[in-house]
Amino acid sequence: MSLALLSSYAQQAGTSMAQAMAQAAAKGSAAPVRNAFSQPGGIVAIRAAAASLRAFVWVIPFILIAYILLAYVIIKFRDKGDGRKPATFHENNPLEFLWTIIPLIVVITVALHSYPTLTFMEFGGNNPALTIDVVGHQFFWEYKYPQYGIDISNDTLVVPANAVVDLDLTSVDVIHGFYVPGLGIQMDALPGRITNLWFKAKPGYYKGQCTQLCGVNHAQMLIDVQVVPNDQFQAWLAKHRTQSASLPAAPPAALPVAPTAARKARGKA
Amino acid sequence: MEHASLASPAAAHAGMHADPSAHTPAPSFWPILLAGGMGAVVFLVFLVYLGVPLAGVLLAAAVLYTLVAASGWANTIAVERRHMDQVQTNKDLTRGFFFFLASEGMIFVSYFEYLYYSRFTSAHWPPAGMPTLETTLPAIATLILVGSSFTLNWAVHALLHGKKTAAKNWMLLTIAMGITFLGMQGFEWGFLNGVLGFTLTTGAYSSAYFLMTGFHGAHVTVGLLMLALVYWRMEKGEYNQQYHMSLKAAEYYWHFVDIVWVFLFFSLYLFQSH
Amino acid sequence: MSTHVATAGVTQPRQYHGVLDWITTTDHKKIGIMYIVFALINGWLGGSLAGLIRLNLYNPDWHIVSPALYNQLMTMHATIMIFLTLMTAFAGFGNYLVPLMIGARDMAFPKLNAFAFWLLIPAAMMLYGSFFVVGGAAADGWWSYPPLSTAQFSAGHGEDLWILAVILLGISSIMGAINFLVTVIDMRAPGMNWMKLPLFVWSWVVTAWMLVLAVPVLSGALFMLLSDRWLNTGFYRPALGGDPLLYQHLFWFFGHPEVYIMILPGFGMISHIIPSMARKKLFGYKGMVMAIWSIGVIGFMVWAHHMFTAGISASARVFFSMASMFISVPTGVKIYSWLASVWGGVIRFTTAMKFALGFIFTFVLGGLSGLMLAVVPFDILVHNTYFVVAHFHYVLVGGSVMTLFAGTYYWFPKITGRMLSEKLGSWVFWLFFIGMNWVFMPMHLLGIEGMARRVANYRIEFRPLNQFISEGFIFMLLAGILFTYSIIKALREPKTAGDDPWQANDIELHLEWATSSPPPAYNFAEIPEVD
Repeated sequence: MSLALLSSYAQQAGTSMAQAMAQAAAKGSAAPVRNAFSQPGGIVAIRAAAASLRAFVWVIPFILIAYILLAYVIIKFRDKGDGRKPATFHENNPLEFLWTIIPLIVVITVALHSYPTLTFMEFGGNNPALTIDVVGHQFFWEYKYPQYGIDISNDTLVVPANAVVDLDLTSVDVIHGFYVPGLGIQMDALPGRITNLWFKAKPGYYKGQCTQLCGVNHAQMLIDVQVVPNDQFQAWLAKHRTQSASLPAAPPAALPVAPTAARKARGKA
Repeated sequence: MEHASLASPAAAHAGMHADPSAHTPAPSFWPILLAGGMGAVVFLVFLVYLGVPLAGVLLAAAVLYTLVAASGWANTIAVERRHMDQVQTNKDLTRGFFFFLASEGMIFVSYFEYLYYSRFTSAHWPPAGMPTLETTLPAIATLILVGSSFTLNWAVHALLHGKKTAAKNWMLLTIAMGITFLGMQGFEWGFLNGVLGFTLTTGAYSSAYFLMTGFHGAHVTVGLLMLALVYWRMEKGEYNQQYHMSLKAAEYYWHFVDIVWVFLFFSLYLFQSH
Repeated sequence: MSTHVATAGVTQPRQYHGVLDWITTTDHKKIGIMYIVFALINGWLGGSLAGLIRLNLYNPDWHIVSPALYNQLMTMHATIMIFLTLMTAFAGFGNYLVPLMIGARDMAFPKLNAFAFWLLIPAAMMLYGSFFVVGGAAADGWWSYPPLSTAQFSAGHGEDLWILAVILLGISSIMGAINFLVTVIDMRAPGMNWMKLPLFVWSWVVTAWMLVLAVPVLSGALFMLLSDRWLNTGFYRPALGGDPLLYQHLFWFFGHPEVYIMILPGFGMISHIIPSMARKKLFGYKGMVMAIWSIGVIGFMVWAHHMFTAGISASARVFFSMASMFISVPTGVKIYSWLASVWGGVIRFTTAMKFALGFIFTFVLGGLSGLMLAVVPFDILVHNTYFVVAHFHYVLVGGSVMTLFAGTYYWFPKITGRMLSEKLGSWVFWLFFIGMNWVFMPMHLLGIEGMARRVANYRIEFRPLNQFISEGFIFMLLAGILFTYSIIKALREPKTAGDDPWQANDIELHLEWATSSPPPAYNFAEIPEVD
């Protein structure tokens, strides 16, 4: 590829990107990007991080055993030039059986151990206090609050603290990924399909971004979530309800595709 | 590798007393020529899609060139095989051909996977707005195609028993049945397109229908070409009880095409409702 | 070399010289060399794209590349590294070594072998050429997920060329794989029964099976994608009742076996290098063969772990999570068997052995981060972030590329008759080993902190780690330069390696070391008998 071509590409879109990132940074205040391990923002993140650490505790011994053995053989069995003859064994059935069966038991344990959390992350959000329809666009997110007739785009998602919030995700164009690490949630938003996730968060500011490559400005498709106490949320609702009062509180358009298994299981079509 | 050792280590080493049967494969221009041809065909298909002037003419030329390269290659192999161990090369070629059919089968598997996935995830089948396909004509076509597998079998059987005339007649019948099948498929397509307005772009279901039957039809066409080639070589009297590798290959290919069709018939026509 | 081989009843084939010799060759060794050189060239080109990516991420404010070009670089880096570098490098070593290892004179279909190689050239031309068409190269990631890759959202023709090139590469792989299978089944030397087969050959048998069964599914999926783009069909278009998720299922049905296709031959190489350098027989041959087969079979049943956040059902998540964990068991068996092979040995720290032991270090990490990713709650926390980037680079760079370095240092004397400098080799190893851990280790952290992959720009918080990572790239670059220089330098030296420079056959018989270096055109004057 020629350098001239490169630089011509570089000149094309650089500035608009910089502006967008600057705007996004300004919106997000100075809050750090929270993640589920260092600053979990609620029960979903806590449970997911705990399940991860549990699995990690099982995995660590295997890393350690392998590395200790590796270091040991390198030090102990290097050629010291003393004419030592190498050993000649080359099989040991009990040993081989053991190092097959023990890891097998461990991985089954690790998998089974993670399932309660998986079930919780998938089905734990009963009786949501708030359902929000999240619609992915190239390259912004649209949030609809059908209960309140609010429809905002390219803005911060505001939700009440300590309440089960249910997100129904879809997309109008390509596949997007809704990812907020601090809340322990990630789910793709696909066109023609509704996917679903839930969370219950502590007050705070959470940053995320689109995780499914969605085109030129994929990197710019940021997510900001503001979790506020209920009274502040009510105030926010009141403000936005009046603002978008002129808009008809249209329910989300019916989608031609069958509901996902998760929705079926939760009995809300 | 527990007890592997060399029976006579010295002999394995390259020495001056070379094994008289030692041969290295002959160099050949055909592989690079054919690869270039295939690359050109694929690229020209792209140019035709772009609507580049003259691309169509060039594509036709490239296809012709590729066919010439392929037959040149085939001819070289035929000449080489006269000096080689027939039993071994037949075994190799047959095995290679089976692996090829396995990978061909996997392409169909991907289409079947598409079909069944769509089927089990959608609320209605056929999907809303899509017609239920008429079964009678395809059923007759199925019988004809399956029947042609039997007639082909008889042709091979007759040839192996030295009845060359009978073999040729059965072969002609097989080809005729294959052509009839294609004709009926063509009629079916015409009917669906013209009368029912069920076209490639009506919906995902119709796309899958036309892709699967079309891809299969292309295979039937290739199979027919192989059978025609085999018939031509029968006419020239090139086959005998020992030497009939290409006949076998064409036979396996035809059976493969038949089996795939049976699955298609069941999936697309017979079981249309949930 | 073959001129003095008298062949009764066969007119001696015409010999060409110079370039024509290479163009017309059907010798598996020359084809193997061409594959390896092709892989090295593409490794440099694909690596340069990685360099541009790291340069851009060093400080996105510099706008080294536009977001549009960034997506092209990222897509083409993956495509080139996977299809044109790793797969062809292993195909090259397989071509060169498999017939030698089984005591055959060539592959079963020598012309088909050449054809499979030459088909790479038009495909590569289309891939590289696509940078210069309107709209640039493909920019939808190497997964090329619809709807992004449909005509509506990727109108540029780079995507069309990408699809066509990958279909061509698929044909090439399938032809090569069929050739390997028939060769190993039909052309083993007398006495070379299945349970005496060298492990590199075994690994290629399983790899070839996976290619034959997995690649056609990709071709099918891409054919439907192309038809959506060109013929307006509705396979992946929700508006017409199609389903983009189905593409993901088909793609990963190919895509996950593909991962093992790119690592199994490397496992095979390590199983040769470690016993030879530790002066001790390979431990647990039978277990190793069973492990390769288990990986090959289970590898077809884990594809949806790439789709844990794609909205698949809970029961599918449970099944694929469990299956993905199972696959770490045979992988573990291989690691332990390698360590047991070294146990009690007398280790010679040649460059090949350093890479082999370094490979164990990095691959353990790559394998276990993969195990972590099979834990669904953790996957949800880091899916499509830099943690995943770290994981698969530990597997593909720490795994495949390290084994390729090891294999190159080990078999270079056989292929060329010359030794690679061990002194330079030590530098190559340490630069590369430090560089790759420097670059990819911190990516785990970036992912856990929540930086998404495939982004041309990132939040300011991620900058320090990204700059640290980009700095480490320099080490890998230096290793690449030194490695290439070392090869060129060695090629100018006299052929003094000898038949078996590592004394491999003192430990256990390997036929490739029983013939001269480089082997004559006919490999073995007399087909060896093994007992």
